[in-house]
Amino acid sequence: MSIAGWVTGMPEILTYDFMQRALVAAFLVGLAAPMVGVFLVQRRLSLIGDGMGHVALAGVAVGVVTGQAPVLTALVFAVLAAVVIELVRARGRTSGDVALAVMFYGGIALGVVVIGTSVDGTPTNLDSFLFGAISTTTDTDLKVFAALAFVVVTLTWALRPRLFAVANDEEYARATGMRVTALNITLAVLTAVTVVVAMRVVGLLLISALMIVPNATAQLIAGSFRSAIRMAVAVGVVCSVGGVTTSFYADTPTGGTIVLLAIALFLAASSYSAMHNRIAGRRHLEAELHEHEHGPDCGHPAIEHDRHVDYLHDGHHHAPHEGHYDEHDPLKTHDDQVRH
Amino acid sequence: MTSRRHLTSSRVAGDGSQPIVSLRSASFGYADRPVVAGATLDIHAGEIVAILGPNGSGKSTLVKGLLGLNNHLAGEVSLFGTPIDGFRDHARLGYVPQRHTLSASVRATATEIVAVGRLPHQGLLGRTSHEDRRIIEDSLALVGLADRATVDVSTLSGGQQRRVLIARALAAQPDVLIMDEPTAGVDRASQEVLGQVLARLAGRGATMLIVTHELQALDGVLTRIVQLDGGRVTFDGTPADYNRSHHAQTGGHDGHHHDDEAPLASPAAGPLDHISHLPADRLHVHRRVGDRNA
Repeated sequence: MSIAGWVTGMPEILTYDFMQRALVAAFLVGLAAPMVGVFLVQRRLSLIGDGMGHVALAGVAVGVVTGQAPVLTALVFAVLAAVVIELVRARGRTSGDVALAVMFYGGIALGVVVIGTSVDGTPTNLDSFLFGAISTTTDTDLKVFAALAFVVVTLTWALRPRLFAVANDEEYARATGMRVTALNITLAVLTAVTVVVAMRVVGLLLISALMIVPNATAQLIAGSFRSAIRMAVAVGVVCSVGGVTTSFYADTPTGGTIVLLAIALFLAASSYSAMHNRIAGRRHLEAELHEHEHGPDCGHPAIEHDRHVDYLHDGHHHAPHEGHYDEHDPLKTHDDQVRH
Repeated sequence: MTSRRHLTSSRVAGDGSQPIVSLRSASFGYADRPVVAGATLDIHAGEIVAILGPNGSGKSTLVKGLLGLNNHLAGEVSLFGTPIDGFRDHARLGYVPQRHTLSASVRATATEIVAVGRLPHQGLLGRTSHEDRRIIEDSLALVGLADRATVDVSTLSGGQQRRVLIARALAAQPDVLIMDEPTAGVDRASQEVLGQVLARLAGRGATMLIVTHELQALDGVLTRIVQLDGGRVTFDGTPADYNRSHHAQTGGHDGHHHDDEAPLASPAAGPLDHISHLPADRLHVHRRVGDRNA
């Protein structure tokens, strides 16, 4: 326990400059990664961040060898990879998948070989990028990360309705005159930038986890896209900041700790949601196979009943629930019959 | 253009008798391979046109061509009087794609899907206004899904999902609805409701272009039938004419042939000439008749 911590009453972790920087960096990554990641999940491109991480490694190696800032060269490589990925995808060739594989493995191989040619090119040097080295974050790094994270978060938030539209139904988006290819390239570039920002925190090999796993967790619990995105960001921040804190006290590698924490939350959410579904399934009674659909002009009296509408159908109360109708007892309250 | 009225033809009527869609020997396809060739067609406000044809006849290619989703290879195409290459007012075309299921990769409520229809009316940084919200609610109510507005669409039935897509198109406040197989592959209850929805829209004077091979669900709604085969228009006329020619075809001697016998009442001229046979009780008949020599 440092003296400063004892004097101010700060927790020990906050008394170290490098840990303060680490926490800020973790917060930024925890915020940005799930926000971009939700659109990757929506487009079923959950592994694309992983591929970009591979290519970014080549950038890191080039930076180390040429004496440039590795963050900068990694950014250039990752952004170029992002643009190429989208152009390959936009051409829609079946060989596109193979082309991406060649690019991703080419990236990591190039990284390993190039860094081998450098004077101080030791495996340890590469490790800090592959698995993260958050406590080595400098003030300059932090400023760059903060600026990049700000751009990612702002742009993603501003373009959110359009990114959603394109990921949900690309053809429709195109038919309404939306600039689909431009939006897809923008998302890919945002992903690339996030990969580079997260590189020092969780490492290139684990970045994709922080973009995807919090979203997987949120998808289990949320009821709408809007609430899912908020929940994923909250989970992301909790995991990244919580992971840094845990790794400080437990003396474990940061990147791995963050990702294990995210996976633990995902597993907890899965068992919660499985249990919830089982209970809800037992608690509500589905009406008989229903060939008729109730609505404003279906002819069956609609009865306002405790925050929802029941349709009176041959003496039964039918309440719309998802794709079917529930059999409701008019004497019970809403919460007694369905739990969402 | 927020002052637009919701799916009524009156606004277009104000443009004069200009057709909403006008094709002159138009070809559409992918890369350089035409799928639809030499189509000549005028569609006016208030018409409810079924585009019929066997699989691979070019029905979808034709409507996707109008939406700019494939290549316009030859001929003249104009939308609301503007040549298609310079047409930018995409929100006037309300597209309902053929989808058996909505993407279930992430949660999204019916309202969130329908809100996408409002995007063409919002700036790049614009957000959903009160007006937008009202239109979204109205659109969902119009397809009978007001009570499912906040439900995750992946839990809805196939027919309900189809109606969410119709509501999304309606939310754009288009001048014409272009639907690709809206009734295909849905259960009977949903098909009935879809039929009611389409009839309700027809009652409001909506203009619709419906790719389908199930006329039954659209019974009494259609004002015109256009049949495609092998990428060419082989019939263009009223449902009554269609039934007559259809009976003649199936009962007649040369039922296998389709290129020239389909339009019973047709002279050798272009396929558009049947439009004057439309029932007089329909709206806009005068305009169609006036357009015969277009």
